[in-house]
Amino acid sequence: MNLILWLALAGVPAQSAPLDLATLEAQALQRHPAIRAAAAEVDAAKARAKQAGAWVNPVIGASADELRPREQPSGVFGGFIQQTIPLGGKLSAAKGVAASQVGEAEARLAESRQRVLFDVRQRYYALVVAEERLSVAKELAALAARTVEMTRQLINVGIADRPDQLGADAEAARMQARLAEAQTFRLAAWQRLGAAIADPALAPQPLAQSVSEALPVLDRADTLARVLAESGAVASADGALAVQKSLVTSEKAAVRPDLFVRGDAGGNRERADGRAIGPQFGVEAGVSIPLFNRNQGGIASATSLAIGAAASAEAVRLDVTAAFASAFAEYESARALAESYRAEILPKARLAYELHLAKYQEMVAAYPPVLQSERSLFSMTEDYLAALDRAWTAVSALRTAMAVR
Amino acid sequence: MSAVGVSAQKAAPARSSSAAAPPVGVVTPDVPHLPFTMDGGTKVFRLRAEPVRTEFVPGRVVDAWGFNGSVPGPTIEATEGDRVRIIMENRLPEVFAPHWHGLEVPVEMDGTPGISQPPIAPGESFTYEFTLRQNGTFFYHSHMAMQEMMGMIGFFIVHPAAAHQPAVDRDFGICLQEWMIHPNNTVPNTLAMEFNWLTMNGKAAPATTPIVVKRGERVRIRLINMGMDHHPIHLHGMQFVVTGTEAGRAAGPFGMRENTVLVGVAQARDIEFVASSPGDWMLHCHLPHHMMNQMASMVGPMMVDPGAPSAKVSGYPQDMWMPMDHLAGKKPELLGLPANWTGAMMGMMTLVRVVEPAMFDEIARLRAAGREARS
Ligand SMILES: [Cu+2]
Repeated sequence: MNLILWLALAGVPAQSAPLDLATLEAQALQRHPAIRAAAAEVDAAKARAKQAGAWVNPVIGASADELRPREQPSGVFGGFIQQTIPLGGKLSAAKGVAASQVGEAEARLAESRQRVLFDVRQRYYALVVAEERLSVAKELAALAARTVEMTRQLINVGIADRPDQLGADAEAARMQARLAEAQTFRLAAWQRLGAAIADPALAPQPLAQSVSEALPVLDRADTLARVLAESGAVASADGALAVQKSLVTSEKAAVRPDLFVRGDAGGNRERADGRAIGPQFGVEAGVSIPLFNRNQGGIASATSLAIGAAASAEAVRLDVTAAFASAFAEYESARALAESYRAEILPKARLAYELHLAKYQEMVAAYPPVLQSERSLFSMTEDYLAALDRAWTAVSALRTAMAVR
Repeated sequence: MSAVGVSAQKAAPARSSSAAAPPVGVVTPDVPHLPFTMDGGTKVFRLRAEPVRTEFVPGRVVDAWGFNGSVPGPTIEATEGDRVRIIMENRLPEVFAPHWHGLEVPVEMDGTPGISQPPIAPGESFTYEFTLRQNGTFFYHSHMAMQEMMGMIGFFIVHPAAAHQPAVDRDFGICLQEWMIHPNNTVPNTLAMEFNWLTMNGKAAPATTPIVVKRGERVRIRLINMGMDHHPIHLHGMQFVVTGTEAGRAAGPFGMRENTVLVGVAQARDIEFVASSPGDWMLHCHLPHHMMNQMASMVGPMMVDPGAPSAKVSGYPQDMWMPMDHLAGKKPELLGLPANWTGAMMGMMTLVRVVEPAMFDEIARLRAAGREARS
């Protein structure tokens, strides 16, 4: 490329697209350390799985036997090879345990991804609301300042009284304090979102979504079924149960005897018939007899742990169901409230304000009702935003299968 | 300027016996007279429309609008046939024009903003000049409605060259006004339709200055009203006849005797009577709500003891007995009034004091000396 043209293009500040939730989700899944930590656990489990089921190494050795110092020559010199052969499915049981541990680690990774996604979604919508709250707080503060001035003017024509001024001043100070609060919370909301996508330096910038985005319509039964099916917590508990079950199999296999095989070969220097006896060979084999140790304790312990893991998995399902119930109630009520504000309350409040304003602009009505109705409108908008905040938090939880931290 | 009124009072020791005698001057208690200078044969008056800080009763400060530092504006007194020039300066922050209510003047002198003249801009002046071809009780007022309610009105008395017969010994003017002022504010709310301050010549009772006459004198009281309410003005103890309206002297004989005259908005009523009965006689608007100052319900712990039998009487509390003699001060006109005389004196009220000559002279002496009445 022509260098000058390149420089010219490079000099134009990139107009970054507004921050969009899907992009942030992808970024978080890629970067978040909690996910990397969980992924490392999966890698470790997979590596352990490779190791699991490996044979015991053979033993080779040298031997000297029948050494009789007074008879020369004497002694048998040779070597041996010894191998333990695990029997009774011990190796496949160990492989089963390792595989189930990989499965559990993968379930925990999925759960971790869900939690990260929940954080991103919840904090994104919280930020959308915080931005809107800030702009409403600015409007309210400006309105309160206008009311102070209007009250001063009303007192100057005898329509208002001094206590009205004090009331207006106090209200203006209150609105300034709330504006400062909204600014603080908005900054915190940006930092929380930055942490959720592992970018703590994330700077305030335009957002793609707005409070006008419609809340999704969720069916209770479908959502519960989906939550239980997709819940990372449930899957992790099931994974832990699978590990415990494989450990029971493994403990039972441990009882079965292993086979010991040993072969040896040597040269016997002892003479017979005037000649060295020469090469001789031997074989030994044996099995352990589960007489005193039948691993009863190990089996019973693993069985109990498996029962416990099954109960825990059931308890997790109950917890998720309970959390679902709360979140769905929050979703339904906040959505109904927000919908009522959006469809009925705010349009009426806005119309009341616009009617007052129009008549004031026609110079046939006074100004105070304009300010009062404008204040009502903003105050109701704040209530609407609070309802939206609750509703979106609940939707985020329901959409990430209750992966609430 | 009230010296003019005082001198007029002094100048009328006895009823004029001659039909050609000039009339006595008008006294407008608590409101000064407007002085004039002569330019050839023309009486030249100077008026300033301006904000005026006043007091309805001592301590009750009001930021009204008026003329030459007075609310109502100073009284113009002239004689039929006079050529008058009035130089009106607008010291208000907004446009304004004065109207000469009831006077027959050339239309370009009528003071109707936008019609007979452009309104006078802030800082500007307008000169009115006309010949007075009537006699009677007239007034001047801002022809901007809300400015009227800020107090912008004043008497414009035109005397006949010779007094109307039977001639009066004393002639007074009382301007009726109503106001709505929030308890912690000093500025009237001119948009209000209900009122909590009612004044005569810019004072609310008991701060109104009584009318003092000698027993047996013939007295005229000129009542004018420029506001939102009509006022039935009632005189105690004596009967009067109405001898004039906002259009001037009525045609006699004046047969119908009354003691209450309704002074409607924009009207003037001249009443005349012989002060035959010695005593301190109330003269007041009879609308109950106009006999109070800063009216408010007294429900609450200050008046009502919940345990007392009175608390169980339906309707209690209603009226309050609150003598406030200190609000009346110690003007000579109050000489000899009993203690606590102010207990029922509130709002649009004053006294017509019919006194013996010795008392009258003592009051006049105190006034002339600028002294206070003995307590
Ligand atoms: Cu009245």
